[in-house]
Amino acid sequence: MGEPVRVVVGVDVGNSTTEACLAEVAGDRADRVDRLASSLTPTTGVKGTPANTAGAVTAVRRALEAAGRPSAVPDTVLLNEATPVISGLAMETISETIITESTMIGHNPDTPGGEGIGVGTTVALAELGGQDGPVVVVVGAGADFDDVAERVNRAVADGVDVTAAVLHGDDAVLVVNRLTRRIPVVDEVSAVDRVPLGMLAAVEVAAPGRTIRTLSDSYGLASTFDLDSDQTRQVSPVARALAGNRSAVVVRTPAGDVTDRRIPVGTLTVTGSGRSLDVGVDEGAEAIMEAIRRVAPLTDVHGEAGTHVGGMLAAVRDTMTDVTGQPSSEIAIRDVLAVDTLVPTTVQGGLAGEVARENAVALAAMVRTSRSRMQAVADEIAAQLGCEVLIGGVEGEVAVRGALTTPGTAVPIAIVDMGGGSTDAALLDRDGRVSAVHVAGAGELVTKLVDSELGLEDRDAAESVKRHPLAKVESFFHVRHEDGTVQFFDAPLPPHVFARVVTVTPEGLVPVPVRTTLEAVRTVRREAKRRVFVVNTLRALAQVAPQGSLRLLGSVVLLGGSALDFEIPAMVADALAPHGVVCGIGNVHGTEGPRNAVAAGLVDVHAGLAEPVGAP
Amino acid sequence: MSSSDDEGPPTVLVASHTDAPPAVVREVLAGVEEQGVPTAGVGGGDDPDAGARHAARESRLEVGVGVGPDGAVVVRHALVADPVLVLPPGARAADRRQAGGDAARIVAGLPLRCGAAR
Repeated sequence: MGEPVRVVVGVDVGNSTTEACLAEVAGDRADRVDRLASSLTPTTGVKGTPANTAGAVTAVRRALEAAGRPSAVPDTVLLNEATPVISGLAMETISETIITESTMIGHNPDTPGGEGIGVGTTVALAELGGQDGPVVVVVGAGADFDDVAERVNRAVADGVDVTAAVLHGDDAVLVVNRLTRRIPVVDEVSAVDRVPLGMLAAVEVAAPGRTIRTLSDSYGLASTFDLDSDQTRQVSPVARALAGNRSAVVVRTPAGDVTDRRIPVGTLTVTGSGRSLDVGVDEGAEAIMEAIRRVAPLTDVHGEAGTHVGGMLAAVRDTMTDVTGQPSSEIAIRDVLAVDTLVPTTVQGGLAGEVARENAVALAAMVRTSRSRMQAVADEIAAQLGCEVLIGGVEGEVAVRGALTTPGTAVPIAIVDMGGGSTDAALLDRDGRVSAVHVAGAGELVTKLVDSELGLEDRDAAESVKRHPLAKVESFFHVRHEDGTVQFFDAPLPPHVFARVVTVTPEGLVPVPVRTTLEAVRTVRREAKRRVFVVNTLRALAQVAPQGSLRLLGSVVLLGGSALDFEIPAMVADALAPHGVVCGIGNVHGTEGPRNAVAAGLVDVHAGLAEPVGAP
Repeated sequence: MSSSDDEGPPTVLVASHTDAPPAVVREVLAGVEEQGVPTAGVGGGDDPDAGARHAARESRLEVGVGVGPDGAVVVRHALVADPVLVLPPGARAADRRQAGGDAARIVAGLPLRCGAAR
């Protein structure tokens, strides 16, 4: 009671953020810790390395400023025993669609013209006139719609049976509106000069709101082109590739083909329980995860040199070597998460920039070392701030202690910290034992999946889709949010967001550069989160749960930045509900939310408020 | 001045100066037509922005286009204070077609293509 009041700062160096909790501690009783302020700053360098010093010092200074004591010198800074975790991501596309001999145009121009199906021999516009049988007119770049319509009308008047047209420019509607005879017209075919001439072709345009019926059906193609059963079998990939389009062109050429090819992308060698298994990456995520389950616990993974996955695994290993100075032979990949995904890819041999959704496998890997260099960080902080610096508390354990200050929690208690590179889980059981696990795959993998599945090729846009709810701008003055609610605005919305799918960010509406619907973007976002965070939460908790049974967990507290996400906590809670687990967002000390669990926990343990756990 | 938009289907109105280059007006009208939206023409003054403002106010679809004697193009919505789109006199034919297309896309509730490029 008579002890002097000391100023103590708990500092938690995490993978992406460094958090501090500033408190005054008097004596060793529960009511003697007075938490004054907390702060949050980006972690500098890889967690657990000397580069962390700058971020840690900033966090301490910000906490002091927040408490209104910018020039105060703390008596003691408490650091967590952070160990480096390095994660990596890679993606391999494992299928590709190739069109040979320009046999097929399957794209969806915004405004095709006419309706129905037309079959005939392909003829260039300049050659039109005098043909006997039915013809399909092929119009190159630079043609004017009035001119095209006039020539076609003249040919029709001269007795030529013009059944359809394929255009380079975006003027199908304009041409059709000027024709004496309505025919289906497909436009915006950018490589129209590569459409083979003198061949039998079919052009189909469906009514608005419909998709084509004949060219997207194997027997439809067979009837159109008079194919026998072997030929029909051969063209069935064409039919499949065209399904769902509003318009399409198919040209029958002697050796034309559409192939669906599996790309060999090397093998992964997974090692564990004294044995090694090879699994082809092109076998997909399910096969890879099954191989990992069969060798569990995993001790190392190698990828084939020259592949994306092999390169990523090597890079992860090299980074850890650089960070810790350990030879790369001592560094083992301890966890891998593989996820199947679909990537929109421009079709090889396509004539109108056609896009096919190709299969791909995304892989997250994680390597961890016990070799922490926090003592170097501690020495440096002591020198810079002029105070005592103590390292205390093994990772996971302090976090559990911090989480336990969430109102309504009780032992046994598990935490899940969903970060950027890895998802961490820890369990404190009734006997006071703590077990912790880190699994690969977290926020960065979600961003990558969103980016590739929507074909954004823009990490910032993907990050925005991940973090913020969606809306559709329906007029210059109102948007419809993804839950269906409508919001009106007093001032007109800018033209660049008009009619677009946007993310609703604190800075305003940001257009998502996609042509798909809000529902499609939402599905991609939620599926990416489910396949990473829900899957990983269950995977990690199963590893710390008594006998691997989630039913024995009791309460699960979600921590970290992703616990602040607008939908992830509910998705995880839904997934855990069938196991009878109480799951919710951490609220450290009833005030701090899911942040600051470790920093506050360090202060509490130091003040004797909480029992140090784990270590004897 | 009485509008040509009082009868028949609602239209995007294009207000063009009598000296407006016919090629420019043709591209703008073609852009609207390709999107499947009806158009009608009205007379316009020297200032394409004032023409667009008038056309937008008169159009039952609340969208108007102004074409000046120099070939400048302005697209406006009746309820929006600023022009949605402005093309200088020397713009490319394809951009004029796209400006007409965007005028129609405002009506159709489709993302604008010129706006996306900005």
